[in-house]
Amino acid sequence: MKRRNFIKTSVLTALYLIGPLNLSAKENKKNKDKTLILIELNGGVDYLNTIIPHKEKNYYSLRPNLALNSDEYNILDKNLALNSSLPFLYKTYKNKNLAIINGLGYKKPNLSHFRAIQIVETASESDEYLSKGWLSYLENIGLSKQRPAQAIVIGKRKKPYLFSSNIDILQIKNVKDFIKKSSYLKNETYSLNNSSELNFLSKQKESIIRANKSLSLYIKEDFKSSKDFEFCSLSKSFKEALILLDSKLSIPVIKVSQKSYDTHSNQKERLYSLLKDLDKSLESFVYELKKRDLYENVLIMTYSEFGRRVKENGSSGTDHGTATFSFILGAGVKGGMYGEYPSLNNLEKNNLIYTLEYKTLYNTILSKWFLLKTNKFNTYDILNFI
Amino acid sequence: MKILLLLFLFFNLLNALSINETKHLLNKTSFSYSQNDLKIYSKFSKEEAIEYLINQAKNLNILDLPKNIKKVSIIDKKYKNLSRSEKKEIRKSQKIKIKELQIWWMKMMLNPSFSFREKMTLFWHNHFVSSYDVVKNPFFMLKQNELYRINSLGNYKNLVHKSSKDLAMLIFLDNNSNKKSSPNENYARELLELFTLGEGNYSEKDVKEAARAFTGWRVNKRKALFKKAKKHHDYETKIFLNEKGNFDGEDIINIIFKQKQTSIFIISKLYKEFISEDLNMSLIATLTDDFIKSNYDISFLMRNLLLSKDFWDNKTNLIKSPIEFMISLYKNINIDLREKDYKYFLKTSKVLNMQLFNPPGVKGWRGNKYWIDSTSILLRQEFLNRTIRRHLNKKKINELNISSLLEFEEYFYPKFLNIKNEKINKSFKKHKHLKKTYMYLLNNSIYQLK
Repeated sequence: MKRRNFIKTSVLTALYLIGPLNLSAKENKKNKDKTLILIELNGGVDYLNTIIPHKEKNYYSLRPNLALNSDEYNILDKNLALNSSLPFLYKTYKNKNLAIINGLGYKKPNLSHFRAIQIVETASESDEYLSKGWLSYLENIGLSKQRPAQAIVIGKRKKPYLFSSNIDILQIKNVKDFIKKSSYLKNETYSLNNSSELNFLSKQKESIIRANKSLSLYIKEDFKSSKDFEFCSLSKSFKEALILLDSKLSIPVIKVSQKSYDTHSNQKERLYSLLKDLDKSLESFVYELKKRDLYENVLIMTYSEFGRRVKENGSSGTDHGTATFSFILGAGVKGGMYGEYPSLNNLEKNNLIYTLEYKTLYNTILSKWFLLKTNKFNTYDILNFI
Repeated sequence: MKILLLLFLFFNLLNALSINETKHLLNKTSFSYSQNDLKIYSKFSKEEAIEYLINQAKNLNILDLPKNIKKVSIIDKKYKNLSRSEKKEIRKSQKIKIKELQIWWMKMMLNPSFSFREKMTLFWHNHFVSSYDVVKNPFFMLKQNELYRINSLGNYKNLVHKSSKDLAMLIFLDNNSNKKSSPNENYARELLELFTLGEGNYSEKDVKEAARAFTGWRVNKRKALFKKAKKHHDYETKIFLNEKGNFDGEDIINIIFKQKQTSIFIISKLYKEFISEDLNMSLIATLTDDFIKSNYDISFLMRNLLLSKDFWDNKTNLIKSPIEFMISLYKNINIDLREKDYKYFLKTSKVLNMQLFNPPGVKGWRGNKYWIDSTSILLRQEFLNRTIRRHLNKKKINELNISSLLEFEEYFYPKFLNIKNEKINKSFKKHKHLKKTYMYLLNNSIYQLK
């Protein structure tokens, strides 16, 4: 036996003797297999009718038609309540497993969907255009057989600004379908060097071929779930995420999205049914993860390009607004309220004034969940939810 | 005399488009080409070819419209008062109509004499966006499509004015519920951000003031007409882009057109569509000045753009959109489509996120690299293989009359690759595994470029 191996073995034996070997192996596995599940609530989810400031007079005076009645929400604490369409999240909050991040925003908010999501996903200043998203730090997590991509985007096919061009992103609607179809793909035999579009296409093909190899090796043939995942496109995406998590693959980020939160009209019914879909999807997803002992490995986070206007409009809806919230859940999450709910007495052009920078949230996740060192965010605070 | 004639012919030949130039022109302006198209254009000089394209596009003939569109779209009884089964029946027949419309439009794109006009119509559809999913009225979508077609090379200012009163647009961007007592900003914002000035060229205050000017602009659904509801219009003073007055929506658009940025914005978008995403700002500045002098004549602008050095010199390529990709394949192998193909076309355009009349959001389809991700690459491959398997029989292959790899490249690829592959060359000579060879070669990424 070589000296080094001997030492290793002795240390391991020693660890085994004192007990914590299993734990440290588990600990190790945890770091490697950590996945952040992002849920984009596309269109700008209404903050005030999701997390309701039920004691605020202005809430009722500015939203004469839209303000929820007391039987339409569940009380969270003395000031805030949760839309009654969210029973699972309510239960999770009560079990101290749901963190609600309040007042997220940035200086000089932009009210365009397209620009706002770019600002939120790149953590830029309002007038700054960045090519890298807040998750570009995942470049430092290398690829391997078990990690064919740093991120997988399920369902929606709009490209997020979250990453950078050095990050391999797979966009998949249905995992099994992807494996089947990608097995016919052939490598490019010829390519031109002077066309960036052509190089881009060839590179994309290569990464699909690589992903095909990994996925066909690791994805289990016989995936079954006891919960229903077929009731909306979000739940269908969650099912695909589950199939990925249930294999031996290790994907740092899986993103799903739910659209239609742009409730300029008939907001009450529309928001209710959207949130209900969200809640039911999450319930099934978390149930299945727990059953498979995978819940420890994930952190689930919602986000949206902006919140909506405090004052309702004439079509029983709300126009684009500013500050918003994020739901964060996971086995290791310390539940509760984080950040300050924006004041309804002090508005700026009828909009909420943010109380928490996105960069604080991002710093928390990058440093506490992914254990990555970042230059951009490390001057910001860390929230205590992980 | 004879010498003069010979000289004339000689110079004409010198000026005539090369095969590569013709391919370049038709790929970018006309959803690709067939062998016959290449023949027609080979006698033209650049100027003549562009003149030919523009003149063709001004022809307003259309194919026969699907029947009863108006009937299934405009319901006399109030929709709310209908029974559940009646509503279901209407929704079903409307869904069928919009599919018929999609195929109708696609057939016009396939027709070489409409091609450039349809390309421009598609461009406007993707600029002044409305989606059937929100509008839910096939007749209004058709009306909008006609507006964009008739004005596709017309007057830009006029087009902006007309689109602001377009029925589908009024519904799509909620202006229909924009009223004095509580303005809805949706249309005003997108008018400034996406249609005319571009983000960063106006303030939030301008959005609010413009929204007030458009209050009361409505759709009379039963008559299918635009109307101004006086009692919902805000007649008070507005301040918009530093001008003060008792503005109505028309005034807002007129003020927008006092900004040079409005022209720069649309010309940049056309540059991206027809030349490259890498903007040449000095050319755009020249085009802008001429465009304003021409009083916003789109055909004048397009002629200048297509005759510009950038258009012809341009070494970069753009990635075909799903519609362009599918139609170019149909055209290149010159196939007659059957019922089954139309269905497959509709299905593929849906999964590739490019349903005609139904862009995914107000920003429209983003184009180029945004078309490509791991899912879309696989779907394109599948479409190509299946179409070839179905249609490329021996007869077709003989008609194409391609007997070497070199000829294949010359005809199908937008750029000359000079591939040397003995095995493939043999396959062309033997006519043995030709179908497979076509599949293999057309699956090369270069075929995705235009």
